[in-house]
Amino acid sequence: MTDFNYHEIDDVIHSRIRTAIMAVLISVDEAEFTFIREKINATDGNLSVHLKKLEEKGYISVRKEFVERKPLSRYRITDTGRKAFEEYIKKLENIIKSNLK
Amino acid sequence: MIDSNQVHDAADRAEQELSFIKKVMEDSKKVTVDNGMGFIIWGIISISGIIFTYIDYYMNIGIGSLYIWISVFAVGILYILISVYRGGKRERVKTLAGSILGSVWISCLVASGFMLLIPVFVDLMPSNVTLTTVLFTIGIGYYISSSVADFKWIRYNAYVWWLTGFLNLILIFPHSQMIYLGSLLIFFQIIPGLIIYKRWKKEISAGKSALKL
Repeated sequence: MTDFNYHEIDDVIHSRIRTAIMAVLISVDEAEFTFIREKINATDGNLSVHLKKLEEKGYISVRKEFVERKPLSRYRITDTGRKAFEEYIKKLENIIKSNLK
Repeated sequence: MIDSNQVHDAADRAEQELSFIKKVMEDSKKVTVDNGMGFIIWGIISISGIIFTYIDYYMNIGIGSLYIWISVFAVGILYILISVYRGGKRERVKTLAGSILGSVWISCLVASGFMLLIPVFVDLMPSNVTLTTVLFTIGIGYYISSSVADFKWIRYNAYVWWLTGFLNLILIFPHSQMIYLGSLLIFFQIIPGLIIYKRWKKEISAGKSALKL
């Protein structure tokens, strides 16, 4: 028996697609919607829902503008998001470590 | 409290999750931070400068190489301002490497522009020394670019530009100097630009990642 608790992990990040979004955004300064979509192979609708969830939590921010009459949404990770993602990675590492004990 | 089997399962999943994150991050970082157009355009503009200098010198027009090169720089800087304005809006992804690369080349160009202006205000340096300082500055730009943009082969360009800067002090005849500089621009400015452009185009058309969610 161990005192390890898997439920301490951040539920907002702990979803395949949201983890991927966070991993993309932590690697770049700012990314346009289509770039994220291509990098994680997601559909427009699915991606929008997950981006919204991360945005509501304050993990990412969005900047919307029109370029040549086309709407563009640019996303970037916030400081809160960066801290949360780092924390998430740390938790995963701790899980692995506790298995080695 | 949970038992050790659950911990083992969780550890397996955590390991998979970490390797997934690593893969996504590596894939996202594989972005060509420059499309090479700057190299190509500056190469063409500089070759035009060489041709104008050649015509001016051999036909005794009397404009003077200094004023020709100041005009060349003005056209080049105008191109940069337009491309920064237009390209920045169309850019799909911004990276730290891209910002550093842009800043490095803009600072190299500003420094080179001022070096070209030195003989206008003070009779401090002969024109070939001025050109040498410009060539050394271009070499610095290439050297930093090779590390920042992960174009390792561009480092050799830096060595060539530095060597050229040095040779420029020895090759005092405008004819040979211009031919040498022209070839250098084709092989170490325009062609690398075309290689980067091809890589960038390939990346854009490839688009989708191999990632499976």
